[in-house]
Amino acid sequence: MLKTTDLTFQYPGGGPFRFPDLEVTPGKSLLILGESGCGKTTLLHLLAGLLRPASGKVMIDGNDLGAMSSTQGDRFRGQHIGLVYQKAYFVEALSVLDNLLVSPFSLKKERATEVAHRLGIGGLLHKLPARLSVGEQQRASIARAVMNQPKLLLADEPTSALDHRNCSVVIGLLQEAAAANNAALVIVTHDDRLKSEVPDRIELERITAQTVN
Amino acid sequence: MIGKIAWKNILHKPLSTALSVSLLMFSVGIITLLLLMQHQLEQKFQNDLRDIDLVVGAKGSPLQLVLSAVYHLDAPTGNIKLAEARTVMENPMVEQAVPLAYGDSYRSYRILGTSEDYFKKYDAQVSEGRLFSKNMEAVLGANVAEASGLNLGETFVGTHGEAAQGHVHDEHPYTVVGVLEKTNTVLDNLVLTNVESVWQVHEEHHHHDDENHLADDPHATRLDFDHDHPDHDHDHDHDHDHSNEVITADSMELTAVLLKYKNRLTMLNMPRIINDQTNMMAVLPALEINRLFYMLGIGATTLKLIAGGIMLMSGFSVFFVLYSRLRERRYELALLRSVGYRPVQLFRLLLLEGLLLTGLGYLLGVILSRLALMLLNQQAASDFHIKFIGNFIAAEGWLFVLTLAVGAIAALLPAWKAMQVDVSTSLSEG
Repeated sequence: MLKTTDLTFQYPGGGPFRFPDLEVTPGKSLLILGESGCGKTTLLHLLAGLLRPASGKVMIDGNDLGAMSSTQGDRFRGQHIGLVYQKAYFVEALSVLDNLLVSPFSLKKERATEVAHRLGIGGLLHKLPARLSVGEQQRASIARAVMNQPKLLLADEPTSALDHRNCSVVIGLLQEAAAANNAALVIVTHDDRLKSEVPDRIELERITAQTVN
Repeated sequence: MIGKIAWKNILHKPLSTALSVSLLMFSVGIITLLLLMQHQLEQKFQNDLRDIDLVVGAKGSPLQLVLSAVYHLDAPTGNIKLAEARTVMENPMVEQAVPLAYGDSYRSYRILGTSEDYFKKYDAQVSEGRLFSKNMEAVLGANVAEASGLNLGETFVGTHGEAAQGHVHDEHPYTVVGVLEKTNTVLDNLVLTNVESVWQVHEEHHHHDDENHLADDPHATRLDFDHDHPDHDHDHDHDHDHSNEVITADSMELTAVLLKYKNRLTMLNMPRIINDQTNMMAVLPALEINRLFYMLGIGATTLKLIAGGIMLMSGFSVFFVLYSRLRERRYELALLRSVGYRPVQLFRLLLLEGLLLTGLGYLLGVILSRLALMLLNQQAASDFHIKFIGNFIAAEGWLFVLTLAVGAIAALLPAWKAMQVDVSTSLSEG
């Protein structure tokens, strides 16, 4: 489970961000809403350990991200955190299957086929990611994020590029995937369509004028 | 997984990969081919040189004398008088003197009149039959036997000169009495007989010529070394039985003599004395061959420099391919970081791609050099009786290391940049 306390962050030459304390228990979802520039992605990257906070703590399942070395941080993220981005990023040259298995922490091929089937992309495993539709790409991203059965699943604007139908399908899939892996799910978005899909939510206020996102 | 990503990545951009790989293929191919040929030529020349300290022959080009008398690659410089040659051959400081008399050729293989010492020099053993003991008996080198299909007891006639079609000495057939085991020396490509047989064929031939071409300009034949006997006593016995005759008349001629000294140090003056005081020329073969390789080396070095230039270009192309793709690849590099790869692993990924590109080029280059060698063999085998083999040589190993070094250096900066990718910034660019 995830718990943050007194998180702040400061970009070089930019104003400080101060984030509200969060707490998400396994199997639960939290929606973080906010306008562009209020630090949503920054917060998400702090939770993932991709950025280090100026102050405050991120605790995941009793592990303090801030206390880890960068090597330990990379390892912890690779093993316990799944990330879904606004845009679906892939290793272009690899098939969808190999993209699911791309982690340096050995994953099983059976797991990949199982996850892909559950997300409805079982028949696309041997295609190159660029040949998939946007919706299929987003499913493949979710599949990759849950491959290692993460404790924490983080999604950054997962629906902004999707139409209404795909939007609710993808959110449904995310929640389902999180529940199936007993992971805590955090979604940051400015997409108001999601309000109806996720009951627990926090609104971030715009603190500085600086555009981050 | 890093290996798989690297491999898939270079396959994913086939055109730029093909450019880098083919540049390397050509440079490695050229260098390898040169290395192979140089290595084998030097080995062959050193092997054939044996313990020959001095070559004595007619005055002319020293290199030509060595090439013709030791390696049988060139036409001889002319003939020397037996009487004069004897003064050198019988010198007490000479341990071994092998006389060589060039006869005709059989199917472009040279017929050489010599003594038994010549076989000993090259440690040649007969695989079938025996060495010659009488006039007009011939021993075939291994390649000649194989190419001609001649068996023991069969006869053949020489063709005048080295050309495939020349005057055929029908009236003087040689009988095959022996076949040599393969020695990997010049002997493999020679038909060997005694000196007297060569004299016998040509003595008769002269009379024959003189009788039939009396009207010819006598100087016309002077151009031909085998016929060039201006001082030859044409009057001596025409009608004797040639079969078992030993001709020792001092007016007879040899083409060259291969000398081995008893002690090299005491013989330092010998070449100078021969060159100054006789009509013959004495040449140190080792010296001439070194000179030849030096001259060949200049050409080979030029080619190697060109190939090195191509390799440098291929290094740049590897650099450009890797570096120019970094911008479009920063998302996937950031992605790899976010799923748990360390920066040093991304460094390794790019380095591996550089090594794969150059390694692939090396592999294809080595294959190319072997193909070129096969083609060259088809051309050169009949002309020079040299067959190059595609054995891996140590220098190729060093070339492999060099090639990989080019790949590694070219990949260094892109790999360093890949390590520096800002994960958070790259992944938040929508």
